[in-house]
Parts: sequence; structure tokens; C-alpha cells
Amino acid sequence: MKRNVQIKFFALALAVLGLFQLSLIWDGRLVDYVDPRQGMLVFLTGLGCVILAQVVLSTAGTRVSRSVENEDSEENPDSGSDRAASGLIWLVVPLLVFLLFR
Amino acid sequence: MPSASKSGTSSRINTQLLLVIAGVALAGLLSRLLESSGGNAAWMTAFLDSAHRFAVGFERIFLETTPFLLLGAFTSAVIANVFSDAEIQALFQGRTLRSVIIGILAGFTLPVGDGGSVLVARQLLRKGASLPAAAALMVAGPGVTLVAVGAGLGANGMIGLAGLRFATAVIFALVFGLILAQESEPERIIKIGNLPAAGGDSVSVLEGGRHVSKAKAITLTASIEFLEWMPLLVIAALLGGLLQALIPGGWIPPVQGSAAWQNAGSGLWAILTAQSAVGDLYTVQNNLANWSTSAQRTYLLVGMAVDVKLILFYGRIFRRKALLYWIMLSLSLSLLAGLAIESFGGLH
Repeated sequence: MKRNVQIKFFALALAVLGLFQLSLIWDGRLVDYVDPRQGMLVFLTGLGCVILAQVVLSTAGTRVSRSVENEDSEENPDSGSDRAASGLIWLVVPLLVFLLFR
Repeated sequence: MPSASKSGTSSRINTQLLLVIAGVALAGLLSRLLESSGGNAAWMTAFLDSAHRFAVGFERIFLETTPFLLLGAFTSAVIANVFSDAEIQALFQGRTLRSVIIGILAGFTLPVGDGGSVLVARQLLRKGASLPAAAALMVAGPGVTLVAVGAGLGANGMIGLAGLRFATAVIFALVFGLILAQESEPERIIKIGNLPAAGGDSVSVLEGGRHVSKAKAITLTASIEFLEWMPLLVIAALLGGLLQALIPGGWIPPVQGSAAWQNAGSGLWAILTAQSAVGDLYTVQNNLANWSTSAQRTYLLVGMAVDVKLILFYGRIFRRKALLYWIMLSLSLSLLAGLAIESFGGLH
């Protein structure tokens, strides 16, 4: 079950990151930070993150039906997925900077 | 590592992280309060100016690098899930000039730039590619990737500088790759423990599951790799933003004084702003009238090879000594390139 929660956490983080980037374009604040000609790259990244989140979430759905039979599977504590999950809280920082600083 | 020691390290990192988040939140709230107070004391103006520089510096590094990190994560995931170890080893084989050139060509054709090339090189190393080939791809990527080349060709008046950056990136990668080719034990150069899991990181998440389509495995691997590197990018942005806020205003280009000072200021600013290979072209283009020609060159060449985020990213792969060699090599080659161009009458 832990893995399933982890996947959902990944999806949530990707969705928040994607929407954050899209919102920068939406309210025009992107030009405060980068050259507007890079707007397309930021837009595509935001869109890509949202799409990734959707696909990752669908993978979590698949996992729900499999979690019972895989509950005993051995976990590798050093895997990239564990490092990714433990570091996701860092994503709070860009949002804080965006919201609090002018 | 024993689990007790691992959990101790993890809780220490979490405490540090919470302190960082609390510090950023406090500074942000303070700047909001000072702004709304309407006061104009000298310390208030200085604080608000620094806060603004920090915020702009942080978000610029974060926003400019994220697209390349995502592209790199995707490319790495495709390599992990589509190509076999034998196929990668056949292509990126040996410690020869050929393998270094193939690495540079891969950096040119694959859509990876700042940051992204590190993820791809790491995946290639995991699959058994030779160190010189992977390192050449990694260090050439920011300067030779098609995205950066396209931006250079599309930016008015920047073709000469973009071409110079492309050529310099190729030379840097050739020299560094051939130096690394002399080392027969890669573990003395790279951190083997930081290479990704076999078959892509999705394997550890989907462990024991039935058949999952290749597309989903690629997507999941890309997501995990992207998010795995995100903390490092945030740390780089924090460092870059903080240092940009702290350095004296007179050190920010265009720096007044001799050519050496202008170049030094430009190089330092390139390291701290850590702009992408697209963003730095636009910055130079916007400042063509204000910056000296040599300051423009320094900004592009140093920024492509060494900046805050690249040092952190490369440090995930290279051991400290190899990283130091790369920094010294790229800075000294940038200096030599500048001197050579000046002595031949500049770039026209």
C-alpha cells in the first residue's frame, strides 16, 4: 500500500508544479522572472507535468488491485523512488517564494 | 547503511529542510510587512532590494532549468526502458576519441540541456556506457543541444556568439573526455552509488506487478527521476538567489573598470544566475549595448560550463576531485579562449 500512496504523492507533486507554472503564464508574472520568449518552454513544461501527473495517477489505480498480492514485496530503501518521495517537500519552497516575495 | 543511522540522517535532513522553509517564509513575510508599512529608511530599502533580487534570482533558476530537467528525465526514461544494456554498450564503448565524439553527437541530437544532460549521462553510465562518452555528453549538452542552437539561430544578432559557444562546448567536452579516458577505474571518478536502478526507477515502484505497458513504465520512470532531482534544483536556486541578493550592486554587469574586472564580474554573475543555455542568450542579446564584447563572451562561455546548479548536478555524479578538475579546466579554457579571440582582433 505504501507504494500506492507514494505514486499518488508523485502525481500530486507533478500536478501542483505543472499548475504553478501554468498560473505564472496565466497571470502574466512570468515576465518578472524570465525572458517572455521562454514562455513557450515554461508552458510546455507545465502542461507536461500535468499530463505526467494524470498518467502516474492512472498507474496508481492499477496498483490498487495489485497491492494485496504485492504487499510482502521487498522494498529497496535506496531506490530513486524513495529519494524522490522524501525530497518532494522541497517543492514548497518555489511556491513560498512566489507567494510571499514581491 | 544500518536503518537506525539512515533514519537519523533522514530526520536531520528533514529538520534542516524545515528550517530552510521557515527562513524563507519569515523573510518573505517580513518583506511584505515592510513593503506595506510604506517606510523608506535606508535599511528597509536595502532589505526590500535584496529580497526582490533573491526572489527573481530563485524563480529564474527554477523556471529556466525545469524544462531541461523534464526533457532529460524523459530521455533517460526512454533509454532505461527501450534500449538494452548491450545496445548502449555497443554505441558508447571504449575509452577512445571515437567514444568521446559519439558522446558529443548524442548531446547535440538528444533534446537535453542544462541539467537534463546529467540525467541522461547517469542513465548511460548505469547501462554500461564508457565514462569518457557519458562525461562528454554531460558537459557538452548545455552548449550543443539543439534547443540552445535553435535559440541562437533564432535570436537576432546572436549567431556569432552562439556559434562560438557551440565550438567551445565541443572543445571542452573533447578535452575533458580525453582526460577521463586515461582513467581505467571509473569508480575513482564517479559516485557509483548514485546511479539509477536497473531497468528504470519505475521497477522499484511497480515491483512484483504484472505486465505494465512500456509507455507507462517510461512515464513513471521519467516522473521519479524528475522529482528525484527537484530538491537539488531547489537547493541550487536557493543558493543562487541568496548569493545574487548578497553581492554588492557594483559587481553586477555592466561592471565599471578595466576589461579584467568586467570579465570577472560577468563570469561571477553567470555562475550565480545559473541561466539556461536559452536564457543566457536572451540576457546577452538584451544587454548588447551595455556590456562589453568580452563580458558577453565570458557570460556565455562560463555560464554554459560552470554555474551553481551545474556544480550541484555534476557533484551528484562526479567525485569531488573530478568536479574540481572540471571547474578549473572550464574556467581556464574560457580565459584562454577570451585571450585568443582578443589577440586576433575580436569576434565580428
